[in-house]
Amino acid sequence: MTSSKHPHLLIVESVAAGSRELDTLIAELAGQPGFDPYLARQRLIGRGPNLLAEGSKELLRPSANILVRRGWRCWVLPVEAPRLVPTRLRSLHLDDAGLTLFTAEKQIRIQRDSRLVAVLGDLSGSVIGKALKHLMAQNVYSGVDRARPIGDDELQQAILRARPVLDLYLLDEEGEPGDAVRLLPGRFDPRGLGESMSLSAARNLQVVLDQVRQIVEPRILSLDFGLAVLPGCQVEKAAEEIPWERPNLNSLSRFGWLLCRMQACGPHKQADTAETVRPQPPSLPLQPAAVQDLLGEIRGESPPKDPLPEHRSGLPQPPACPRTQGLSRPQWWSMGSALLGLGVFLLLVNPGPLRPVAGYALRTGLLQATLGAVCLWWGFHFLRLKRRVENTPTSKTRSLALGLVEVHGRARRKYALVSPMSQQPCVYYRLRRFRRDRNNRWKLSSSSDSGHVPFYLEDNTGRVLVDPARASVRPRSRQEGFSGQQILMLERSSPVDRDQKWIEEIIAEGRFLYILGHATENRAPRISLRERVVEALRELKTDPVAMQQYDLNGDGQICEQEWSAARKHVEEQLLHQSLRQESRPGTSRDRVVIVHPKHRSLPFIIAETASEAHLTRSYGLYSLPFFAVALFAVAWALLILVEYLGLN
Amino acid sequence: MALWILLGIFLFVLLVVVIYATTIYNGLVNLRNNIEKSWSNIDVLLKQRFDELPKLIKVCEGYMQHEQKTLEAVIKARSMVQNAQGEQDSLQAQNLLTDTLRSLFMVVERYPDLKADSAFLGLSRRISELEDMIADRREYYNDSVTIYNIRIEQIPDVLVARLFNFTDRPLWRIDAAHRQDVTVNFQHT
Repeated sequence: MTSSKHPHLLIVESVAAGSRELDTLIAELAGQPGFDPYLARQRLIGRGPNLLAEGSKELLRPSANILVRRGWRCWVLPVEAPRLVPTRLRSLHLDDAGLTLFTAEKQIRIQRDSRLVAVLGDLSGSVIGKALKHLMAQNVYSGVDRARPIGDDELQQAILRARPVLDLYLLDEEGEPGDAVRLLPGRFDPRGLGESMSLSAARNLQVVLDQVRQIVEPRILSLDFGLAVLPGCQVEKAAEEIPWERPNLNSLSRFGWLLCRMQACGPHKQADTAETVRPQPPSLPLQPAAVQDLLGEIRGESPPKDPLPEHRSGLPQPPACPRTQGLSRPQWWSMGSALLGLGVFLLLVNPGPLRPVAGYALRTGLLQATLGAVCLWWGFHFLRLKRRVENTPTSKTRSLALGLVEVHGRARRKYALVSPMSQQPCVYYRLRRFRRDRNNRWKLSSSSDSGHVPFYLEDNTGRVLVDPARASVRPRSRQEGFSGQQILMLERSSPVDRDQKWIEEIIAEGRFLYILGHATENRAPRISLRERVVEALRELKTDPVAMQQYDLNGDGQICEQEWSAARKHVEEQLLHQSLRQESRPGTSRDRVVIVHPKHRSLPFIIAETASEAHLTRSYGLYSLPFFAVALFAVAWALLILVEYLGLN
Repeated sequence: MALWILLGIFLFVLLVVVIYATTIYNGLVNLRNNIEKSWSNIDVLLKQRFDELPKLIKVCEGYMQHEQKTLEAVIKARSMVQNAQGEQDSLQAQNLLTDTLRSLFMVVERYPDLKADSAFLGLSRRISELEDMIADRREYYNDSVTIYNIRIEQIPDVLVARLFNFTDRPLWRIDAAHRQDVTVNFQHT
């Protein structure tokens, strides 16, 4: 029996994808003690059971009740060490009535009426990498709320191709685990499988799994080891320098034990407010240090360092990324590189027509002068940018005038945008994938960003909508990782593909932003009161029933005085209507949006910086190397030109 | 040879200086126009406030039978704004209008029915928003002027400014009457 003060875990069965219901749930859970809305979203979306919160049973019960009320399956379990560890299978025997498993100590019979929990897991961690890659690709190309975790069939095949282990737990009549056996491929005698036996160890394991599925119905089969976030169940990366097999086997034992406990205790029920006392087998005294170890694993998943912005629920889904008509920047770079490469190739194959031109440009210093001119242009570009930032006064969002504006404030989401890699609520992200080429250099292979998702900038007078499309965005938060490596999402790792890396840059919600852009009207021009009155009177004339109310003398005709009264009444009605609309909170918002200026020479900067001076200083510093290179290139060009012209 | 190279470098530096001077000149022109624009942006809001007044008076007329004097003062101030000649006159008329409006809103306190009227609430909120926005834009105007005035006195901008006669611009200053402390009387008559 466990005390209600004893640390407990709130475990929830996650769903495949986010939804409005999920946002509502998180909003409702946000006020509960021991609850972190950011971690919760990660835990509620995914595969299998995930840890949502930890604390005393009293503390977790309200959250569990909310989950149950909203139709989620959840469990409140005490923190405890496994009381049963599976023993290794030595041999087996398959017959018509069932399957007999032989360990070093005893034999276990699996038959039709057995109650069974089976866990098929991958010890190497490579399946986690595969699942993450799958999820990341879906996040990037379909949006975070449309991503689906990897399917059961695909996952099972991936596990069997990696380092599979099958744990079978037999439950007694009360649902408690009685016996457990572990099947390691190649480590048991498969002859008992008869004709189904194969030379492949993994294949034999699959045969056992299939037989168990046929014999026992219903049964619990979990493929989520490593994918589900549960305390003490993390998977170490398979590496030569550190031992990983034994820790991973221990994690698998803890995972299986937790699944069995979930089966034994059953899902939380809302009516279950009193402490239910279930007879339990005598357990080993749980050391406080063990509890702390388990809780430490939970607490290791630290929340963001910055103060958490106010969690806002009910935000709509981000709009779908519009299909771009032109080429993306990496495509332009690829095309440019291909054309340059083709040019160089042609020059090497047949240098005839171009060689004199190139030689002449180099001999006369024309090439160096061109380099100098280009650098000079870039130097002045940054200088002009610096002066533009310095010369533009800061506006307040409340009184924003149309045209080029500079605003400071905090970033707030308009849509439920979450960064694909770090899963943080953000107003903007940029994700780039690099591949290592033959020369061991990183080459940009694809890029995506949330430039199509508008957000708000909020200062102490109000907020304004910002459309970041085509902006020069300077985020400060940057995450870098290799494919297969798990960065922030889950605290565990898997085999890493060192030839491919991802870089994610984000502007998290609540960050202080500097924006220099063009403020413009966000909606169709307003119709004047006079136009609306004319339109309303026109409609009135076509409605005889409505006209009757203005026929004060009842002669069936509208005289001039009656028409004047009708006109005045309509005008007053419209005036009141428009005033009511204007006074309604929220309706006067979003009239102005900051966008990319139509004139290409004007800048559109979105910079995550607390100080404008920092931004201008960095632009000043950018210009210096360009001026230095320009001076050097011009001096070189002059030297060559003087020599070429024979002026020395 | 060295002479030619030095000459070339001198020409390059001269080119850089010319481009830089052009950048400064363009920047100053931009700042000067920004001041004009920010002044015009205040006018836009003043005009909006001006256009809202007839609606406000219309709504108030129904309730404030005994405050014709106050309403007439607002109407008079509005017409003064309309007929003002020159920047100074316009500024004074706008200030007078602000004062009369303030008086009107103080008088409204005596008319609970009017205060509860949705049309009046909408209008007063709208005028109050406009007042806030006007204050913001005056601040913005002063920022624009300050940046410009600093620029034309700084090196190297001062050289270009003197060459092309860029003179300093005045800040927006409020009437001395508005700087006086407000006397609050809690005795209701």
